[in-house]
Amino acid sequence: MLQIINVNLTLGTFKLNSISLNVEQQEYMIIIGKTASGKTTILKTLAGAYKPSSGKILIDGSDITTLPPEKRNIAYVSQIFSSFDPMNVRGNIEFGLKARGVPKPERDQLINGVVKDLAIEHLLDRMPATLSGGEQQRVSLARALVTRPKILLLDEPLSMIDPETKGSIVRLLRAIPEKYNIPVVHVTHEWDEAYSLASRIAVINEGRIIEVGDPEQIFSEPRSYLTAKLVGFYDMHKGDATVTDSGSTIKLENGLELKSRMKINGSVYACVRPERIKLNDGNEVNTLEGRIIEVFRERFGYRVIINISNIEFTALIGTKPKRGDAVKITIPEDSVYVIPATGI
Amino acid sequence: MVPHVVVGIMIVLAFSSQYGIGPFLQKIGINMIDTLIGAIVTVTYLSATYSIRVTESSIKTINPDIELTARTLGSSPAFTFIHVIVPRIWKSIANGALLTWARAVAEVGALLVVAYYVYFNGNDVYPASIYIYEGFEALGLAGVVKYSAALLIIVLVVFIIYRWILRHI
Repeated sequence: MLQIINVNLTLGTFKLNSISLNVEQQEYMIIIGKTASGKTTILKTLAGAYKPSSGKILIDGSDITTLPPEKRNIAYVSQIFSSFDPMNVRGNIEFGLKARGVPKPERDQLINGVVKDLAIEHLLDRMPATLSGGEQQRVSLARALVTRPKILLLDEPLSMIDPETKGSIVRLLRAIPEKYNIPVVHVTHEWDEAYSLASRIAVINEGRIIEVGDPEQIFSEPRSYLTAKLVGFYDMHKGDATVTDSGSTIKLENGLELKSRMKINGSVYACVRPERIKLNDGNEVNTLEGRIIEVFRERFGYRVIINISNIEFTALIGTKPKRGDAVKITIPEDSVYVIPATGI
Repeated sequence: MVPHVVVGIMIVLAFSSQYGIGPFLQKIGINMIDTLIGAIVTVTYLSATYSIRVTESSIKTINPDIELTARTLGSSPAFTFIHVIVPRIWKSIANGALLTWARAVAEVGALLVVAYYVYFNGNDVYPASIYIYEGFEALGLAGVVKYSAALLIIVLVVFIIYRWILRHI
């Protein structure tokens, strides 16, 4: 089990502020945040690259805050494939075991086990430069896992992989905590990656963890504006909410009114996911009229931006509309998620 | 930045038998003036900057994540340096060494002060560059052309062989 207790760190003008997080055994923790939010810095602090100015890092109750990286037994897989040239794949996987003085027969046994788990037996004699992105990532994981670390740290492990290979690597990653009985800490800015892999998610912004929760809670009911923005709420409009019998009515800044099932009063953000907006479905509640101002092709259809009284809404639809078309959109009441407009 | 003759004078002031740590070195049997060790220290001081710059540039191209990855796998800083860093930079180190050697062969100014001649194996031996300079002073241009050509050929041959070896390792 990993415990991060009130860790502070200053790197030039950047600061990690009072980071506290517990990661249980066999838990897949994803730290999600936008670029330069501090997610990689947390990972490198756990790995031992940076010494916190205060706070503690514990593994199974032992304080490792001041230990050098080689004494922590935490494996770090970086975003780029860090091959140890001019070693071949076997040499790369064997490196950590050699550094620890593991005898040859034991090394061979451990390597055979891990390459079988990761289905890379056929790559052992290849040079790393000849591998594809997915193969390189498997080799990185094998090199990390063969040392039997107490924690596995993954820095955006899917960022350099093509979408086709991503699926198989995601399956592989998800199996690691249980198979190796370790916690995994994985950082990313991709919310769909976080949603599909995490058992819990921590959201980081400007060096501060602003929210921790299970994926469903984070994605459906984010507690902050920033989290909502990060997890795919395209439309977040400020307004004033008034509680009604069935929920609340939010009067947006342009005078439009939206109804929500959530009961809340005061200044709020009305947040809507694009996939929840329906076009011309004839419903009477939250039906708004506007004009399509942009159309973008997406994998699953079209993303359209609709201007409604100078406020833009984004919808995902299956059939191609035309720019300039007049449309009616409907936002179901239970799809209007409301966040108080206080703090971040 | 500093003229090489001045560097030579600084070395004399620091290490000759009357100044600086010279008396102490003398006591333990080290004489820096007009000796092989004095000549080596002088040209190394003046030329090592080539090796240092080339090696530094090469190290800067290595992503720090590679070192961190190796360290988290249980590798000590020394093990990481030898097995991960050196294999990536040894060619640059070797190229820097060649440049340093070439620059050292060309040194005159500081050697005129520190090791005008070198007492070596019972003989007074002149550094090649000083010998050519002296020859030019005494015999004129025609008298030193053959020595200059000989030195040039030696340097070229060493360069070519060294680069060939580096390319084929």
